[in-house]
Amino acid sequence: MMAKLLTPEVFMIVKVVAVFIIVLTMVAVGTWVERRGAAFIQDRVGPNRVALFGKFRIMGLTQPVADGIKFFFKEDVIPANADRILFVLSPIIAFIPATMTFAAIPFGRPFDVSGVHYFLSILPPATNIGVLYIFAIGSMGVYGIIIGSWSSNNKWSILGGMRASAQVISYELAMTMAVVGVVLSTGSLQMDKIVSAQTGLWNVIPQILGALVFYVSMFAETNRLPFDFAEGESEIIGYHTEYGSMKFSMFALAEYANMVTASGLFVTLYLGGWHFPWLDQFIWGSILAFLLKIAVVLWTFVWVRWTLPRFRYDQLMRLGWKVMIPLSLLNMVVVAIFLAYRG
Amino acid sequence: MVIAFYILGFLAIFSAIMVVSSERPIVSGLYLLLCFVAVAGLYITLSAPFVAAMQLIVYSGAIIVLILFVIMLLNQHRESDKKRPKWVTALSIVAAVLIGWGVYFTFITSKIVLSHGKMSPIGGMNGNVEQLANVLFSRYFIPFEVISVLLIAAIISAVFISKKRV
Repeated sequence: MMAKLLTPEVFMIVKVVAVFIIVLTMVAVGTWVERRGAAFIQDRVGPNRVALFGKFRIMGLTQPVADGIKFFFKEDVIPANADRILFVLSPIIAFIPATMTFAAIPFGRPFDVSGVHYFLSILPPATNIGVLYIFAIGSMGVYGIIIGSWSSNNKWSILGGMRASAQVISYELAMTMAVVGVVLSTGSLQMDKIVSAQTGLWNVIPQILGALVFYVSMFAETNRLPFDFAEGESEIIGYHTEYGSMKFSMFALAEYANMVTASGLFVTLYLGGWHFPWLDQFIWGSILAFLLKIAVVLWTFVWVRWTLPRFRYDQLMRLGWKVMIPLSLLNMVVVAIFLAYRG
Repeated sequence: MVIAFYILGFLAIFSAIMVVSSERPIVSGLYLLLCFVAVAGLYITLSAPFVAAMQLIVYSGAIIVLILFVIMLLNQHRESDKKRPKWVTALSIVAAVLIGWGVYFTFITSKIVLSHGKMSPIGGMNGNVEQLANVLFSRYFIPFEVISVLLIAAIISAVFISKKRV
């Protein structure tokens, strides 16, 4: 019965649905982890009141559900002089690339059942642009910010949007060049080959410099503290000032989805993907190892956010252009020389 | 694939027309973005995913951002047709038709179309990047390097021109 149901087409549908649901669940749980983590770091209690059926509190884990319901039923305000079409469109433009990028990331060990090969990533591993796909789709994410800030017709929004987009395109360069090191040492752009090249030794050890640049750029790309100039909720004003209700929520969800994808990418490129001693000999074990690694990286996002203060804008730009890009170039050259002399 | 080709082709042409006909510069820029994305989709239907990815990263991801940046920084105003004399409009239509016809004619009579039956996609969906790298770093190595030198010269001169004299 089960064997007949398992065809590549059915498996693909199951994968797409499962990945979408799991990523969105991680996004929802992520907002809860963020608030509980902030409370933990600041020695507070945090949200713990919302209870399932009025009985089961589970440390306030149902808080995201309550938040979602609240966002849905809030009044949907569109400012009088805003560009109505673009104003409505921009949360969607921000959200779509954020959920599309995860498709290229392999999240488990591929396996064969009765001669048919099954791979655990949505994009087939044979399309040989794996890493480039993520950067291509990921670079679309900045338009949500630009269009959102411009269509609000608010000078503070535009200033926030300008800051954010300058930051995103600056750090994208460093990020991409850090990844070139990994691509060089693997000799392929395919994500599954990058993962299998890390059997035994994760990339983070030989390419610690590239991993560091990628990790820092990741925070800038997802607009997280210490680089959260896009939002800057505590003193300066960001690009989604004029947004409320579910539209604002879409921007927030896109940010968390970007975090999940960036963590997945970091795990795949530098932390060995689904490889883990002993666990990765099973299919479920490899998926579990991948999810655990993502959870650890996601926790560092929260950890850093509530530990470091925000950079000043000129410090951000100096760090990006004068430190991160030279470091990523250095990493690339070192890897290239090493490869050339080792043969 | 054929349906996708027609949809993407329509999208590309429609947005290209909207780029020149829309009144607000920002909206033009966004239609240009749509046009580039549609062209990237066309590359995928031609089984050239690497070119499509490059199109998205370089043109849609970086260049349009800079264009929108400049438009936002500059004064925003609606383009008005009234200031323009009618003979300029007529002349530009004639020039556009002439140039378009010239491009079309050169393309139709070129070797690309004549040898169309013999052509095959380089490497297909799978070997794309390797094939491109092989051609780029062997046969077209010198032009490739010369272009990079040219780009560096352009960057340096742009910085020099925009620098404040002290």
